[in-house]
Amino acid sequence: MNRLLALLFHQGVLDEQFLQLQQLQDESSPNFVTDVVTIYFHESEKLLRNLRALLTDRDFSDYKKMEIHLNQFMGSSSSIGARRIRNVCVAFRAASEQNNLSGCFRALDVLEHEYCYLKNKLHEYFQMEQQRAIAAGARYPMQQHNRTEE
Amino acid sequence: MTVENRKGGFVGGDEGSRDPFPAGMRVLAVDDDPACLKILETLLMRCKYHVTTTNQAITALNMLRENRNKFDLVISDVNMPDMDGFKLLELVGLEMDIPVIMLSAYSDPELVLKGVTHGAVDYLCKPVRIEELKNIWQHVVRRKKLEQMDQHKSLRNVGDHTVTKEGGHATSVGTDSDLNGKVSRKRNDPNEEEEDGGEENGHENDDSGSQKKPRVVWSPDLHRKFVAAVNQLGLARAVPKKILDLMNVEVLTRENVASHLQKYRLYLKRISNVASQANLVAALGSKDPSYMRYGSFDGYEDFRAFTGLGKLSTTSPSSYSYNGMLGRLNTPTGLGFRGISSSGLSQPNQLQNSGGSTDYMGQLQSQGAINPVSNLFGGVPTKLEVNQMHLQNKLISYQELKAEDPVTSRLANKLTNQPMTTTSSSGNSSLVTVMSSHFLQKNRIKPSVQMGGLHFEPVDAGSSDIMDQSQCSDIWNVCTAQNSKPSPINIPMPLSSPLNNFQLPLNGNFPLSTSSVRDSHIDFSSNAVSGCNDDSRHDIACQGGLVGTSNYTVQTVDYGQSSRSAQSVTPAGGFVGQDIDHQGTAFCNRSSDIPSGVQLSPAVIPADVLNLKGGISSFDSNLRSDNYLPEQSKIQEDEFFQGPFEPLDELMNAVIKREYNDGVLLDGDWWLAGIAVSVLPKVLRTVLNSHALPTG
Repeated sequence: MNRLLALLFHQGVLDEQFLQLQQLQDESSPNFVTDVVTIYFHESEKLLRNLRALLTDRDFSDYKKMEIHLNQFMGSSSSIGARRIRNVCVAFRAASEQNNLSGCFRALDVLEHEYCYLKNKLHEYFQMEQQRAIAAGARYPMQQHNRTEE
Repeated sequence: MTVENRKGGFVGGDEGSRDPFPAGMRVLAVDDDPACLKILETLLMRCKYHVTTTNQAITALNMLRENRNKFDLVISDVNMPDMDGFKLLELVGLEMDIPVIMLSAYSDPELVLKGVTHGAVDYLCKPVRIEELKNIWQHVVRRKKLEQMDQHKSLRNVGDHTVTKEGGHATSVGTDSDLNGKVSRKRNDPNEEEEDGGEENGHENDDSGSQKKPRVVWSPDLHRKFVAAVNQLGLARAVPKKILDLMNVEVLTRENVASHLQKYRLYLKRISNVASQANLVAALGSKDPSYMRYGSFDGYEDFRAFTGLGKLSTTSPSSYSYNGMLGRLNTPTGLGFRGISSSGLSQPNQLQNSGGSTDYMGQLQSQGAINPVSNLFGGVPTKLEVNQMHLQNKLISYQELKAEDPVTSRLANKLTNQPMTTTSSSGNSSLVTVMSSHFLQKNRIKPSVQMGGLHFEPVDAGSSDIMDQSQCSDIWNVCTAQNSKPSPINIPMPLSSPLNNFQLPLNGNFPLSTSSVRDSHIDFSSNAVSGCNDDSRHDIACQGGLVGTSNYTVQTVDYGQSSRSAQSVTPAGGFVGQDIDHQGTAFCNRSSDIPSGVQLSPAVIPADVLNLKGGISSFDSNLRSDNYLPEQSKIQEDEFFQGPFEPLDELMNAVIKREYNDGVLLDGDWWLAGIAVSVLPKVLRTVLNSHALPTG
């Protein structure tokens, strides 16, 4: 595992679930991890936007609605293995249950921050993986067709 | 956007019939979150199932309706935008009777309970692991088995005229219009089995030899007509024949209607149970008829009367519902658990493995809980089985306790009645809740319940605590044994809280240091009440007694302490049975007044250990296991202990001495710390046989 990933694990940004995802990737689903993570990013951005919109709405009072979004965000984050994000979601949920608006705002800020961090790092990671695959292919042209699976 | 795709991936063909089961099992996965859905799909494929996915509940329903035989199992998320997951669950159960597994990001007990009452066969928490998915085929097999058993039963039970006609609808015979009222009453318990059978038998029941009717699909329209007819007749008067006439649908036969009526009745009952559960807190003393059936309520009431425990705290509704739920769960699986009724105190006739009857307790007394115990440890517990085991555990401990004085009974009562205690209950509950949490752990239920509130009542009582201790240790043993298989369950509760509670009660030496106990008790209760102990000292104290939480064998796991670490050496990791009162109290003592002479053993020794003189030697060796040291190092609040092993030795000596002094004769075999699961039956046997309970 490369150092970036190791760092992310060490920081608690990712957890074992991410490893499970990697294990699910094989010949039959060669780009599984990137696919899933891409979907996750896509969805998460939508959710975060919705959450932000809900909270900044002056007439906001419907915590239930927020919790629905939060629920989904938490579910997908934990499925990806984004542990820190998930933890923030837990705190967010707690604040929401207590109808603590400022708590929710704070949590949302942290959430957005964590999300950006994760996204950047994972992008970086995928790029590295890609380059590694390309480099490997270039280095061993004879085994090119094997490498393409990566 | 509807996403539908079907991925087979295996030779089996559509039916998957050529795949060796469980491979090729056809699963329908429903989740509105696309990332989760994709992951789930891949996981399921990795398990070699045939997966169909959709992100809309309505689509899923349609797919199921169009061909009921198309799927073996449904996995559905709880929170979906177009339809509530529970609603989908119910509809599937009512119309198609396919096992449904719920999936959610949260595992609140209320949600899990809701899932169960709506008929889910399992409740998984995200992130889903592949290990969990590898076993889900059992639900399909189980249901099929039940249906078959059901068919045989109803074939036998059924009168003459229906047999030949029924053929594939054997089970629906039971609701023959003539016998309707009688039969449905008579078959209260098997009802749920029959519900499973329902209309599914058509294609399965070849043996009955008669005509196979095409399965009737209860479309929403049809169902609406049915409900209208039922309402028109009034539920009491609704008999299949009349309903059929009212509905005026040609394709339907009376048997179809009969079986559907059965299911519908159960569904209504379920709804009303859910409602009644919600009222349980207020209506603590009221008798919910559905619970009566299971006897647990009875048992509780009786028990209260018996023990004269006026101050038993309100069991949370969840506990009742849990009991009822368990009862319900138990029923289909043939458990005849009749709850813990005081009548159970009367001598039992037979010891049934499946947590049988009111006799259970007596049996346990007479024979020792060998069977139940062994049952406890057999196999990989499914949720249902775990529940059974849970019940059995409770029974075991319960009966052990009950055997003795009311104080212990109190403990037992707590134990049995508070699987998910949320409030602070009176003293005994500590032990109970601790135990309960064990069970919950096993059940993969993650209680966000506060373990707080474990007041040690006996402390207040101040008397006959010794017995409590020993009893507690028994229970403890049971629990520890059960929990020897660690399951990483994260309980969001802080460790300290439960540990606190934990510490106090389990000591044979308890009476000895009453004062300190009291102190600690007081501290304790306050801690307990707060639930989450943020008091570092307190935490430390508890942890001091507890050896690195992670290593805490049973407790650690149970309390989640973020410990995914396996339960290492039990004794070392084990929570030191607070051993004894004073030691424990020392730990819990916020005010850091550690009673002199208190050997603070950082190692957490399971209470049971402490009680057992005999066990001490083994305990010693265990304590000196490697785990002890690392854990030791974790507990760096050195103010509380003097060093890794010395306190332990002193502790042991103290324990031994005290035990002798107190005249507590505890069988050395009792000591369970670190005892492998296999040893447990023997241990329990010894425990039960020895009846080494101080009469103090």
